[in-house]
Amino acid sequence: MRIGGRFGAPGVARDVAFMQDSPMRIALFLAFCAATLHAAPSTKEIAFFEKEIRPLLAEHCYQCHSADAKNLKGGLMLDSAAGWQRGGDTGEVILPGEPGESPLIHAVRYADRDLQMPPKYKLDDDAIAVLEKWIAMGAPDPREGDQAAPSIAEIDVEAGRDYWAFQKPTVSPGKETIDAFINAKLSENGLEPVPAADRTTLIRRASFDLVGLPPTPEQVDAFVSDSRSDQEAFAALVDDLLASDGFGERWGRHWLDVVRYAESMGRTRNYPFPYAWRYRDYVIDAFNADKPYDVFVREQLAGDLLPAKDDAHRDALTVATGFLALGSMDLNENQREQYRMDVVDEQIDVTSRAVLGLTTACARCHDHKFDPIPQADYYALAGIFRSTETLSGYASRQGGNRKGFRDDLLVKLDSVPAEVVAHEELVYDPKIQKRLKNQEKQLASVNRELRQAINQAKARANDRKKGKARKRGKRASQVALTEKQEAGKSVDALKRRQKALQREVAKTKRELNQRGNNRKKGKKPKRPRTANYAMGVREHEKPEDCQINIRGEARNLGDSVPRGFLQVLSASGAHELKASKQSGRLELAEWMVSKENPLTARVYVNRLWHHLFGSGLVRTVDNFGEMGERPSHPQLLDHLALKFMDGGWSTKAMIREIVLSDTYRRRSGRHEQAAEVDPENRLLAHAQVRRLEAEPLRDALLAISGSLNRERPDGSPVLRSNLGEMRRAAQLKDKDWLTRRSVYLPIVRGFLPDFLQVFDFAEPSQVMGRRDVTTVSTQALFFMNNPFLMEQARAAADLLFTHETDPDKRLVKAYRVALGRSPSEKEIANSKRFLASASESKPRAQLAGLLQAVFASAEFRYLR
Amino acid sequence: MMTPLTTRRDLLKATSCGFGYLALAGLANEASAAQGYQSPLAPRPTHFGARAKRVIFMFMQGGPTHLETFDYKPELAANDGKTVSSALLGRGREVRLLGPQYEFSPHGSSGLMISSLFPHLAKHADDLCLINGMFTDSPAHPQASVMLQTGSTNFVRPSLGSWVIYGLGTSNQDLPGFVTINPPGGAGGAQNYGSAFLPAAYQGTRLATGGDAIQNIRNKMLGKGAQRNQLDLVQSLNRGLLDQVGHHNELEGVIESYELAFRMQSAVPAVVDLDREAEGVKERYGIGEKATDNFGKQCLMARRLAEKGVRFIQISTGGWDQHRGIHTRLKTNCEGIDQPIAGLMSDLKERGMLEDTLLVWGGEFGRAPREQAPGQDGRPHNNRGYTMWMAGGGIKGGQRYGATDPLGGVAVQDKVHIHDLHATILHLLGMNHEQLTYRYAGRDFRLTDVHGEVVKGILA
Repeated sequence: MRIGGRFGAPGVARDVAFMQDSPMRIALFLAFCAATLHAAPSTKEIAFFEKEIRPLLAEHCYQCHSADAKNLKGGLMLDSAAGWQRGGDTGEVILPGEPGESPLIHAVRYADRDLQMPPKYKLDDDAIAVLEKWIAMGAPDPREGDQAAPSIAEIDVEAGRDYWAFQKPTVSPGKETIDAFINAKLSENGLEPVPAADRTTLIRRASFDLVGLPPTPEQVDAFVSDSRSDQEAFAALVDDLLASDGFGERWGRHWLDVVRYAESMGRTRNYPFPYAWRYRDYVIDAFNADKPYDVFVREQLAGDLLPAKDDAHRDALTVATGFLALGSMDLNENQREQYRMDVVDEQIDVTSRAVLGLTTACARCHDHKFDPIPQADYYALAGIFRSTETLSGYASRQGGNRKGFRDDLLVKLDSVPAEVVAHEELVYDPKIQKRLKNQEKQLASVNRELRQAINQAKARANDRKKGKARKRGKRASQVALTEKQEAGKSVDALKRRQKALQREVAKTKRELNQRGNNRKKGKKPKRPRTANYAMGVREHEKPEDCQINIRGEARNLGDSVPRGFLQVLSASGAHELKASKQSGRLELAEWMVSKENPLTARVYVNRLWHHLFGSGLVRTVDNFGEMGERPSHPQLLDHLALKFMDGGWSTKAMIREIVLSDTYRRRSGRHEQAAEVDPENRLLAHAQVRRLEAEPLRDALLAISGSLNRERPDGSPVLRSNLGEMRRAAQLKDKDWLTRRSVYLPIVRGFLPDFLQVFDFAEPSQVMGRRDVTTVSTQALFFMNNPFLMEQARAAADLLFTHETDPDKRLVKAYRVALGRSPSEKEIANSKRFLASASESKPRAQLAGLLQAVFASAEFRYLR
Repeated sequence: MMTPLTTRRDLLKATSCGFGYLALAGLANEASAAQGYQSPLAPRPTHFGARAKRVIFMFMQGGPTHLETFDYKPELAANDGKTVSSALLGRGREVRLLGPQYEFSPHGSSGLMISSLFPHLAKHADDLCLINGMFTDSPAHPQASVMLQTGSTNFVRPSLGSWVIYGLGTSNQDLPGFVTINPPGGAGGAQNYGSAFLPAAYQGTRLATGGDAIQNIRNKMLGKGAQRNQLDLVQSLNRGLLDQVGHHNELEGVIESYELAFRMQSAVPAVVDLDREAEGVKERYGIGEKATDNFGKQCLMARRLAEKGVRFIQISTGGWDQHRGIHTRLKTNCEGIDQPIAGLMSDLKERGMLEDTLLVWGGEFGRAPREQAPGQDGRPHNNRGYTMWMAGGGIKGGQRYGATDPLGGVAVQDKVHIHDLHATILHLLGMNHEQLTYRYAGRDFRLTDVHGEVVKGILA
C-alpha cells in the first residue's frame, strides 16, 4: 500500500482497492511495481553494481538481511532488488536518486543513535561513498527474483474460531453431575475408581482446601462421630467451612497469585505501595461475601465507572481497580511514551491472562505466533488502557519521579472515618514543619483580619442605622449600599483566602504525615498511616485510539487502531468499541463477563478445580491458547462453565458442587491399575497426594501452637515504611504481625518473608495461577533449624502439657493436633524411642523435639 | 509455575509438536531418568563440549571507568583538556575532554596495556582478554545492572546464574548451585539473582562473608547426634507414608532433601570457613589488610565454592560510580580488588582450575572521556563504549578484543553487546544460547531473547 501510494498511477490505485487486502495479491502487486517502475539497468550500471555494491552488501549486510540470514532483522532483505524496494518494518530504506534522504545512508553514517548499521562496526568512508554514489545513480540493481519474501502467514481470525477454547461451551445431554463425566471417562479406560476416603482424612483435606487451616482434634471427633450419612455430614461440614472468614483468606490469596499482588514496585526502583493492602482486603471480602465473579471482574477493571450506592460502596469500587495499578514497573524508564506503553502492556497481560487465560501481550511486537490474535487486536486493547490513568503513587523518571512517592497519583477515598484520618500523625520534618508554621501563621493573621472586617462591617451597619434617622433621600441610601457592598466584598475575599489557607495547611499536615517516621527524633508513628488513599485508576482526560507500535517500539508508530476487543472472541465484526466518550474499560469488562465470551467462565472454574485437585482440567491454568494444554475432560469443563454462569457466577456454589462430588472425596494413594493406564492421574480414579502451599503450612503451625490471631490486622507493615526504596523485607518488629494469618504478611517484591520464599510462594511480579512445587534442601533446613519453627514446636508442647497430664495420651494428642489422626503402633514405638534418647532432660523440651519431627514429616506438608 | 517434572514433559511435548528447539539435549536426556525422583539441581549434560565448568562473575557495581583501567587511549591523553563540542559526548554542548588519569604500560609477553592501578593483576596480563568494545542499552545504574544480570530491562527475567544452573544443574548436591556473595541491595536488588519464571530452585542463594553464611544452617539447640535421632524419626514417618501412598516422586524428594540438608550442615560451614586456609593463602588474597580484606574474602570464598563444585559464583563490590574521586576513591577501589583477583588467579592456576573456571569482570557500563563538570575529578556515565574482561576456561588471553573510538567514547569495532556476552558465557559452558529455552506463558524464553552472537574472537 505504501509503495502504491508513492508510485501508484490512478489505474494502479484502483486495482489496489479492488484487490482488497489479500497479502498474496499485495505481494504480486509490489513485484509488479518493482518490475515496471524501475527501468532495467544499463550494462555499465550492472558492472558498477557487481563490482562495488554486491560484494559490499554481501560482506556487511547479508548476515542479517538476506534470505539466508539466521535471524532476519527488521524485516529487511538486501539480497534482491525486490527486497530493498519492499523496505523493512520501518518503511523504505533506499530512495533511488536521493542518498541524502535514504535511511540506509543515515544508518551506515552512524548519524542516528538509534539506528547504526552494521551494528558492530562502522563502514569505512570509501564504502559509504560508494553506496551513496550507487543510490545517486538511481540504485540500479540487476538482481532478479525475490529471495523469498519471508512468508509471514497472516492470521486468519475466522479460521481461528475453530479452536476449542474459542467456541462457546456446549451442553452434554444426559450428564448432570461431575461424577457422571469423570466416571464415564474412567470406564472408557477400563478403570474403577477407589472408594471415598475416611472421615479423618476428608476433614483435613476439606479444611485445608477451603479455609487453609487444619481441623482441631475436637472438630475431627465431632465429624467422625456425626451420626448422619457420609454425604449429609460432609455437606454440613463443607457449608460451615464455606461460611467461615477463613474461606476468603484462603481463596482470596489464590486470586492474589493470579493478579501479581505485591506491596512494592520491584525492579529498578523498589518503592513501597503503602496502600496496596486495601486491594488485598477487598479481594478477601469479595470471596467471603461470595461476590459473583462477573461483578468481581467488572469492579476490578472498571469499578471507577460503575454507579455506587454510597461513599463506602464508591470506595470499594475504587479500591477494586487497584488490580490495574499493582504492576511491577520500571520507574527508571526515561522515555515517557515507552513507560506509558509498558504500563499498558502490563495491564493487557495481567487482564488477559487472569481472566481469559490468553497470552495477548505476545502480540505487542507482532501478530501472535500461535493464537489468532493479530497485532491490531493488541492495540485495540492498548487504546482502552492508554485512555486510562494508572494511579500507583509513582510516576516514571520522566514523569517527575525524582521525588518518589506522590499522593496526587493515588485515588482519594471518601468513606474513611474522620477519626481515622484525624489520627494521622504529625511527624516532625524541619522543612515541612517550617512551611506548616508559616501557613498557620498566615492563617492566623487572616483569621484576625476576618474577625476585624466582620466587626467593622457590623459597626458600620450600626452607624448607618443611627445615621439613617439623620440623613434622608435617595443619595444617602445609595452611599450606604456601596459601603455595605465593599465591606461584604472584603469579608468574602478574606473568607476565600481563609478557606484556601485551611486547605493548604491540611495538605501540608498530610504531607508531613506521609514522610513517615522521623529518624532524627527516633519517633515512630504509633498508628499506621491510615490516610484515605488507595491505588487505582481513573479515566484519562482525552480517551483516544492507539497507534500500532511497529515491532513494539513506542517511537515507531504505524496505523491507528479503533479501540476494541479481541476479534476471535467477538461476533464477526462486533469487536470494535461503540462510540464512547470513555476509555472503553467498562465495555471491555462487560465484554469479558458476557455469557457470549467462551473463555472467562471456563478459565475461572478451571482455576477452582486446580486448587481442589492439584491440577486443572487444563493444567496450564493461565494459558488456554494453542500453546496451552488441552482439557482432560472438555465436556466437564463446559458443563461446569455453563452451570457457573447460569448459577449466578457464585464461587462458593461452584466449590461446593466440586467438593461434594465423589471424585473429590476419593481416597488417595495406590491404584495399581491406574498407575499403568493413567500414571499422571488425569482421569482421577483416585485423589492426588498434594503439597500444601506456604501459607496453610505456616498458618497450621501457628494454629497448632495456639499463637494464631485470626483477626485481620490493620493495614500492612509497609504502610509504616519510610517510603524510600525497599532494600529488605518489611520490618516486622511488631510481633503481633507474626501471629496473623500469612495472607497478611507484607509482600515486598524481591524481599519475601523467608517462610514464603522457601516454600515456593508465587513470584509477585508474574501472573501465577499455578505455583511451583519444588523439593529442595533449604526446605528441610527450615524444618530442622529455623527458630520460628522451633518456637512453634515449643509452644505447641506447652499447650499439650497444659491440657494433658498423661504422657501416653500426650503423645497421641501430639499426632492428633499436628496430623489430624492418631499415631500407629509403630509410630508410637518409634516416638517413645526418640523421647527416651533425647538429650534434653526436660519432658517439655523432649515433646517439643517430637513435635518438630512431626511438623517436619512429609505428611504434615501434604494433603492425603 | 511448574514442577520440574512437568517442565520436562512440556518441553518434550513441545519438541514432538515441532515447536521449540529440537536440541533440548540436556533436558531431553533426562526424561529417561524421570521415572524416579530427580532433584531439579541434578547435573545435566551439555549441548556440546564445555570449555568451562563454572563461572566466577566479579560485578563492579557503579560503572567502573575503562579509561583509567583497561582501555588504553593515547589519543585521549593527547587531547586532555581540549574543549570539544560533540553530539556524542555532550549532546551538542561544549565539554572538556579528560585524559586518562593513570599511566598505562605494557605487561606480559603479550604486551597488554594495563594501567598502573593494577600492579598485581598486570602480572596475569597474558591470561586476560580485555573486551574493549562493550556496549549496553541503558546509562542508568539499576537498568544497566539488571540488563547485565538478566539480559532485559523491560521485563522481569531470570538471571544469568539461574539460566546456567537450569541448563546444567550442579555437581555438588551438598551446596547450592548458584551463589551470590554480598550482593548489592539496590540497583535492581534481588532481581539480579532471581529466577523469575524459572522454578524457584534455580534462584541464587545469598551468602554473607563470615558468620552464618546460609540461613538455617545451624541448629542452636541440638547437637549433631540428637539431631540425627530427630531426623531418624522424621524419616521413619516419611517412609511410613510412602509405604501407604506407593511410589511418589515428591515424597521421595522430601526424604532425600533431609539427607542432603543434614550433609549441607557440615559442608556449608566448612566451605565458607576461611580459617581453614593457611595464613599464606589468606595473605595472598590480601585478607587481613584493610584495603583488600573484604574483596579478598569474597575471592577466597569463591575459590573454595568453585573447588567444591558450585556452578555459578557471583562476587561484588560497589562504589565504582566515579562522578568524582578519580584520584581518590577509584584508587582505593582498584587497590581493594587488585591483589585479591591476582591472588585468586594464581591460586586457581596452581590448582589447575583456571583452565576450566571462567572469570568475568565488569560493571554495568563505563564512563565518558569527558570531565563531569569543570574542575570536578570525575566522569559521567557511558553505556556506549566500555570494557569488561574475561579470563580462564576457554578464553584466549593476552589480547584486546574490539575497540572504542580513539577518544574512548563509543564502541566502534567488534562491538559486544550484553546479549553477545551472555551467549558467549553459555557457549563456554557448553550450551547453545538459542537452545537453552524455558516454556512460560505460552512461549519459549531464552536468556538472549532473539539476540546474541557468540564472540568467537575471544575463544581460545
